[in-house]
Amino acid sequence: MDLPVIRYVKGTYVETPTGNKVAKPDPGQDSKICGTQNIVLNGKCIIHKEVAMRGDMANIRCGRFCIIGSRTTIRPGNKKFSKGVTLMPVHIGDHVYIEENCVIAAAQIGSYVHIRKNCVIGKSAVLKDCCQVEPDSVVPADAVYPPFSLIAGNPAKVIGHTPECTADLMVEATRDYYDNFIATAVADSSNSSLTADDSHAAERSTVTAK
Amino acid sequence: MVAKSARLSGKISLGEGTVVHPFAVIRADRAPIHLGHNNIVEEGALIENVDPSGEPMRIGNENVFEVQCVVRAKSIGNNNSIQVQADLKQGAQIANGCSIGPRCVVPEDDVLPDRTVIYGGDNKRRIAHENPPSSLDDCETLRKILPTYHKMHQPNA
Repeated sequence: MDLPVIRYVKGTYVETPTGNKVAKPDPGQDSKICGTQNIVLNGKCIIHKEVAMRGDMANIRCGRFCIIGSRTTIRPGNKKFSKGVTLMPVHIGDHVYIEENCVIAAAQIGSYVHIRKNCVIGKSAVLKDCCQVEPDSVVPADAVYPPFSLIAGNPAKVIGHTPECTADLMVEATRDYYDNFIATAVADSSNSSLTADDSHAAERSTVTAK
Repeated sequence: MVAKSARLSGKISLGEGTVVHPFAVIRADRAPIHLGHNNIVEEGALIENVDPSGEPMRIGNENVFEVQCVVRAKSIGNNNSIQVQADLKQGAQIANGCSIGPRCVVPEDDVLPDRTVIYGGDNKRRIAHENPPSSLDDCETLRKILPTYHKMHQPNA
């Protein structure tokens, strides 16, 4: 499977020395990534536009080659213990692809997990390696799913299992995605390979340039 | 306790100990909103009074409004838990101790009795035996954590 080349205007994403690409907020808007000192991105992660990450509440750790789609929220869930409330840190493994509009309050997401769009992952849920969550699923709070589960529904249930080669597929997919996520030097709206989202970004940047 | 990056507009009264997270939206442009004590409004939540006759929206104490929920209800009691992306339509009335599950919808002008639980993709309902867990401890933790990372509005400002 070859992924399409996605182009973005240079300057709309911050690039770190370890290869993370994090979208800048639109002019006039606050960044929804809070508590950046508590967020660890292990390298070559892509964080798209309008992603909210609540590092102010607890630590958030992402492995390598994580792709987090636009308008997704990642926030630590709270859990009540006898001593009081603790906010559970979020651990996300390597080669994880989270699509758009998800709300993630999980305690742990393993490696090679694919969460499709509009999913809600409940507080302190645990998704082990190689899971796939189908679109529009609602994973209940405190749920634990074994490796290789295919999860769907509201409330989410295991409806099958993912193929044994999921790890290889996800490694390939996330690497391809990262390699095909290319900066263009100037805004060029006539470029046919621009996606709808990126042409908006291109428009915006020309407006600010004026 | 209101984060400065939350968007509040119109006549809003907040009770003691209520926590409004950054990026929450409370709109009272058409009619006032009264929130009680120790409520939590998380980021992306929208509380809006759209009552055409200008009746104030009354929200009791110790309610939790989770991420991206939409609340246009007429009145909300105490100790409710409105979970992720739940939608309370205009005119709905919610009593005490109700729990509206993720992405569940309360239809227009619906009246929910005490301790109603709405859950699942097809909005199933049942009555719980006890209230959802109290928000008091969460409030306390958040009141400690949030000011270290966010600019907050001063009380009575």
